[in-house]
Amino acid sequence: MSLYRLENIEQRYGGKTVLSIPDWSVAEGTITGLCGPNGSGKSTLLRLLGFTDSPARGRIFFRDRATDIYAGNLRKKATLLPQESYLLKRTVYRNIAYGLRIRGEKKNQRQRVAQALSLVGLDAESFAERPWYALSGGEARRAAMAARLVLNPEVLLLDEPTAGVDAQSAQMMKQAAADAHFKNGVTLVIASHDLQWLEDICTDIFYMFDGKLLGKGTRTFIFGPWEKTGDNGALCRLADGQVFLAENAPKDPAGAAAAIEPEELSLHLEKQDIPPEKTAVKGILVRLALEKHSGRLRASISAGHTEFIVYPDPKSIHRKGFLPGSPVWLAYTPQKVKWFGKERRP
Amino acid sequence: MDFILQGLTEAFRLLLAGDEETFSAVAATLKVSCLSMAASLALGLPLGFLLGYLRFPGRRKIRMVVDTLLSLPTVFIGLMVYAFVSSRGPLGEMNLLFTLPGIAIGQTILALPIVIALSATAVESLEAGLRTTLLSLGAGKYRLMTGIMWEARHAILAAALTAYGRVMTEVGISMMVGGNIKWHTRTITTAIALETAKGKFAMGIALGLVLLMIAFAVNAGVSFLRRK
Amino acid sequence: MKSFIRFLMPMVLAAAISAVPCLPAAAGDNARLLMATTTSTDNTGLLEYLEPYFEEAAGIDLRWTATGTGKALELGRNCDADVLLVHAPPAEKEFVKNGYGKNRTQIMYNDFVIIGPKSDPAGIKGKSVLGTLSAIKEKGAKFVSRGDDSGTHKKELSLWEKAGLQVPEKQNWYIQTGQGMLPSINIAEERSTYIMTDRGTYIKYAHERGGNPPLEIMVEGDPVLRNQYSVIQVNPENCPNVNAEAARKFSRWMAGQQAQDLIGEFKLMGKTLFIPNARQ
Repeated sequence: MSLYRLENIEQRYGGKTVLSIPDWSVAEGTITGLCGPNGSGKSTLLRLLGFTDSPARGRIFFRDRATDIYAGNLRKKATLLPQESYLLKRTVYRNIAYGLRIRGEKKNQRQRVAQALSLVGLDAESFAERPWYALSGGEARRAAMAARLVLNPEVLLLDEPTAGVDAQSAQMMKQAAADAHFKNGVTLVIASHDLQWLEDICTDIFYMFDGKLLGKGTRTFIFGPWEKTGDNGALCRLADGQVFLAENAPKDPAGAAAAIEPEELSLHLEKQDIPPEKTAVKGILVRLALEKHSGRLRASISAGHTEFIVYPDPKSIHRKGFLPGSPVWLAYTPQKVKWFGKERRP
Repeated sequence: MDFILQGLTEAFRLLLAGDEETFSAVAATLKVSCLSMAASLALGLPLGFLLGYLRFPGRRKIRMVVDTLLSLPTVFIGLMVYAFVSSRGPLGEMNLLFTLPGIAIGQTILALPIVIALSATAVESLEAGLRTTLLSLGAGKYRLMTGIMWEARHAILAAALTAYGRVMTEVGISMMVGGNIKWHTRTITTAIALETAKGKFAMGIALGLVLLMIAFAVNAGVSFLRRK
Repeated sequence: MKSFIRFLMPMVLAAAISAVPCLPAAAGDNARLLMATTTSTDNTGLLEYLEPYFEEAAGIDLRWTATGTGKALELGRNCDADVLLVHAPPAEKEFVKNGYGKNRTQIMYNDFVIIGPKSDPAGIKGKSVLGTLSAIKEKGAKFVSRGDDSGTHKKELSLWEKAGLQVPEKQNWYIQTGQGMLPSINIAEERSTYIMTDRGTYIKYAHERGGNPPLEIMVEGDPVLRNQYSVIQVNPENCPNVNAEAARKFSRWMAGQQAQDLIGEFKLMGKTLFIPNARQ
């Protein structure tokens, strides 16, 4: 049984369709990551999952039951940490106790609030009685997180929980999210630009673009802007001036996104090692990491601010002496680039 | 311009010596402004919330009408209310002309657009993130409304104070509908108008200062509440 | 929410409490008389001086609203006052003729004076009123008019007509203030112009300036400058709800010996202001 199942969901704001998901589900007890550029529909999707917005069309099933945002106690099971962590204009304590008060859970309130604060690394003694305006951005974000954790939700939906906060707060947020999942079995759906974190923690990662889910898995997206070259080719100028080529481009590639699977990329130290049938861009190996859930070795290569994901053979990494910081050639075949077209809507 | 200084000392004398005429005007001012504030808040806050919160077709047009009504001239309101409560008017039977409740009707019309427009703006300006936040913490429809009103409390209080200031200081309605009848409908502002016409400028200034002191007391009380 | 209610409650309570005494008591009280009058009777303090005597004699609670004569007549027309005390004889006669009022009774008069700067640019000192107005118009000397349809304003207009002159309107020497008598005199003083005023207001103005006012009396004593005050009862045939009985009592009392004596004795800054003439 899936926890969430979305059926022909569409969401519109001001007459514009901002989300359209024909069929999608989230399994219970998993961590689902959502990534994609700003405005791709991540927050819209999370608001639907948190039952704070109703879809314009389609149905959302929660444990196979059709839902309505004001019906039953759905919002007591799933809680959303919105992107703007809005603190209510009251003390930190009353902010965190607000959800408990709504639920009529008065028992051990003080204790529970203090515990929730400690989960995000805030000291109850010095923070509980502070007014909403006496917190730094990171502290406010952590207090908002505590206000969700205190509710012991079954599903926690996090919208950019680490965006725009200091490193320590980001670390605390990640720790609190991980604890909620691994210690209390909370199902997590996380929207984030922190791909590294998502890849470390998530069971599945979904990419979103232009209001659509682009499918599961780790792949590198190149969001353009794309320029048309020749009959069906296109090129994207990376930030450092290099050119990334793709074939089979749509007629009007300007707003489209292209993706390349990790398997289609290979790493080379020297230019002469590049297979002759392939094209290459130059980048820097920025990270080598062990992917916890798959056990694979993952390499991140930065080329003109675009981060490419490759799963190299651990032996070749060892043999050839790849290290983070090494300049590398990233070889690919333009024909293997996949396109995710932006539909032109009237 | 020594009447300014005179006015200042006169103001204290009036208050400290418990001048009967002054206190009658003060009482009339307080009674009528309390009446009109109670009515305009009771009507205006829910309407302002709905206007600021709900999205419905024609909302912007209503908003424009309300904003336009912000510039209703008090003499015009006075004239319109007079036309209604005059013995010959549709509400003539109720004998509201030259009474405090009559003035209060006019002042309610004066204050209502202020309360509606400012509380709608207050609700509008915080709605975006707040609605999602309240819902995500488990609020239902009722909690959502009270939660939003409570978050907007400072702005709503400011709206009430703005309306109160306008109501306390208006003279057109009080003069036209109240008739400035001594011991009955003479408010501080109509008394000032009278004293000025009499050429007793110092007395006029004194009464103006008395009005300011009342306004100060009200504001001090509100700012005390605000800290809670 | 609690403190919000705490903020609203006192207001609502105070409103409720204050509404109680002024709602039903205001209606249908026989012993109450509402008079619409002109600012001059109120501003000089005459009404406040007379009020206790009348209330003692008649047992009627006298209330008045002081406005311009034009509005006072309009209040009477709309049945919003029981009795009028005004000073614009032609308009009053019209009012009675149209059936809005009855028993117009002359009570007293004072007089108007034309005042102006000591330099007297139009050379009007000592002239008759009609000669004065012609001279002012000829020289284009600045003249302030109330322009507010008050009794004084109506009087001024009638004088232009009597002098056979077209009533000035947009001429730049003719300044219409639309304000009360004293504010208008202040404007005339600031701009050193001529102005017609009732004597009572002039006495107060002169007193305020320490007896040495920049504007002095230029023309006085001309019979056309007489300012007649009359009491008119609002016609109960037109307005069934007026307190006709009290209005009649007031009218009689004002014309009676006691009130006439009192009016004659009333002084402002030591000077007699109104001359009773109910008997004439």
